[in-house]
Amino acid sequence: MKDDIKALMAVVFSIEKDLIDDRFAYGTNEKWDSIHHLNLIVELEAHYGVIFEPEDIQIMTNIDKIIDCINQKKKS
Amino acid sequence: MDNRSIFIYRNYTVEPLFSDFPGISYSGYEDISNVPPDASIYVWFYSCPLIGSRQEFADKINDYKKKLELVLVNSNPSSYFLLFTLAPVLNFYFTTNKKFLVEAISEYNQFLYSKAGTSPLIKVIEFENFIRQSQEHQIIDWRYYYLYKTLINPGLSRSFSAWFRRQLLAIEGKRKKCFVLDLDNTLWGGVLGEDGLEGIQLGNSYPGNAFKDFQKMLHEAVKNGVLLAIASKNNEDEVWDAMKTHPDMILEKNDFVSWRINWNDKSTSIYEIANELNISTDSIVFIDDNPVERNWVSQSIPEVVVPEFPKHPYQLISFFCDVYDSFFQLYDLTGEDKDKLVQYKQNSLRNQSLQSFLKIEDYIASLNIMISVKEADSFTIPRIAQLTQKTNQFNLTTRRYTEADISSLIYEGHKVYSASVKDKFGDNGITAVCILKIISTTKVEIDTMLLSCRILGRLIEFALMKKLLNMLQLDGIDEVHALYIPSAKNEQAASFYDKLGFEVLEHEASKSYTLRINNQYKIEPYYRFEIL
Repeated sequence: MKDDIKALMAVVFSIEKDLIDDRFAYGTNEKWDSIHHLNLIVELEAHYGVIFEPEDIQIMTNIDKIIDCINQKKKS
Repeated sequence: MDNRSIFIYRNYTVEPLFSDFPGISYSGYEDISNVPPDASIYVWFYSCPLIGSRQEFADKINDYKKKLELVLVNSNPSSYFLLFTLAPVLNFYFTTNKKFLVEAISEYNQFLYSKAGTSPLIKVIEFENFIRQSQEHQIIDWRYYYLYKTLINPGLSRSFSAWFRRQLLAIEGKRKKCFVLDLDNTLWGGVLGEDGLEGIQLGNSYPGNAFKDFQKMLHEAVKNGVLLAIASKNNEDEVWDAMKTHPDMILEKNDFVSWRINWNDKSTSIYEIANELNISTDSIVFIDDNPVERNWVSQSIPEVVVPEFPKHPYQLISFFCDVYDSFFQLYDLTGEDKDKLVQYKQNSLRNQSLQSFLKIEDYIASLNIMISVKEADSFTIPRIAQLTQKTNQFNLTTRRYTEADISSLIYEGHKVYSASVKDKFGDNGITAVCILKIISTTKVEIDTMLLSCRILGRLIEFALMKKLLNMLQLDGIDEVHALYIPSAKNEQAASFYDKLGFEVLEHEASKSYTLRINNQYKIEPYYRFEIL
């Protein structure tokens, strides 16, 4: 799943997939601003068929947190 | 219009909708201060305010008109200016009488049409067409509305891009010219050669009524300058006989400019029709219920548009509307539009008060702006920290602080100010922050100066900074240092200190300034201040 998400991110942020590591996070990289965050959430929802709550959206600020959130949604 | 540079005026977050388009810049929300002269296309994309009273709604819409007027006057007259109509997005009314809302919207839209009548480069884009085609989807996603101030669901961005791209093509005059139509199960139900004249489905009961309406729409298309042709495998005599004698047939022989009614393959027929009409095959839209025929044509003449045909006859009208909207929409002023214009001109007389607002200063003066400046306290620190975290555009140094950081800055002796801004449309709350580092009793440095994009466009940044400098001068400060640190987003603040008369000390990656203050700045009287 991590690889999938990186692939999605690469498209949304228009950067090389290899540049996306675990430290890549909202606010720390210029590309990952609020508009791109929104675009990323929309893509993740479409890709995984899940709906995030606003509370989720606000904390999904790096890849690990995104994976946690998706897994939680899939369980419930 | 290759290498377009598009500048979009907006009142909601629309970036996700345009993420497929390169070269786009955006105004702040409801911000008209920037009118870039080098834009090749300006877009005016304001949407209905959602929440509020009737009066607020009316005031807002009036304000949008004034803003548009100002921007139009100042825009480059040799660039396109596309005006999105207002469409009611939230179909909810507190009373069953929705006349008021409908009238306010239609008055605004008429205003747009009247503007479009003043220059061939000003075009109205009927945004309600996009809303209509998206009806099966959720138009507003309230999560994103509250988190990101988007009105149109960002999940619709793909279909929006496709739709907007078609609007651009239509404006550039790349309209299709001709429908090439199949007959059996397309213009009527059933097969003429087998079911006979009485057996085909065309009339006043389902599905015949749907086919009849489809013909009516095609007939209207002819009146709007679209050509109709036939490519059908049938007996030609039988077809003309049916057109002439069937009581419910709407289309007649002389509605068609060319036909191939024979047993040849349809791509040959289409080539022949194009030759006969002296049009290129890329201006043809082919309509056929048979997927094999459609597939053959799109394989052999890929430039012909071959839309999927609806599965059920009751879908024919929405199918027609989509196809027409996508490929045949015309943007020139035709006779009918000209009639409308007279009507619009009468309406615009009512809007004459707008004419007095052609200077941005006059407009700002009419807003009754009240700026309340306050030193940070435990109630305002969270919001101040949040603004330093989130503000990108008008932010001179883009220094990000947490609540704890702000508290320790205050502890170290910094002066932290916030400003909240009210105008006649409401209270924007705390939307500006200025942090001053006290160096000595006569010397300070501006550590942070930022304004939320919500209040940009009213030159409040200058009034506020002048006010603060005046306060400092009264306190005995005579030297102020300042810094502009460029980021990816803060270009619009680049010459802020220059405009205030600061002197540049150093200009490398960042720009540092100094200012000697010996007298009070004059502040335009229409900014009212309260110091709390």
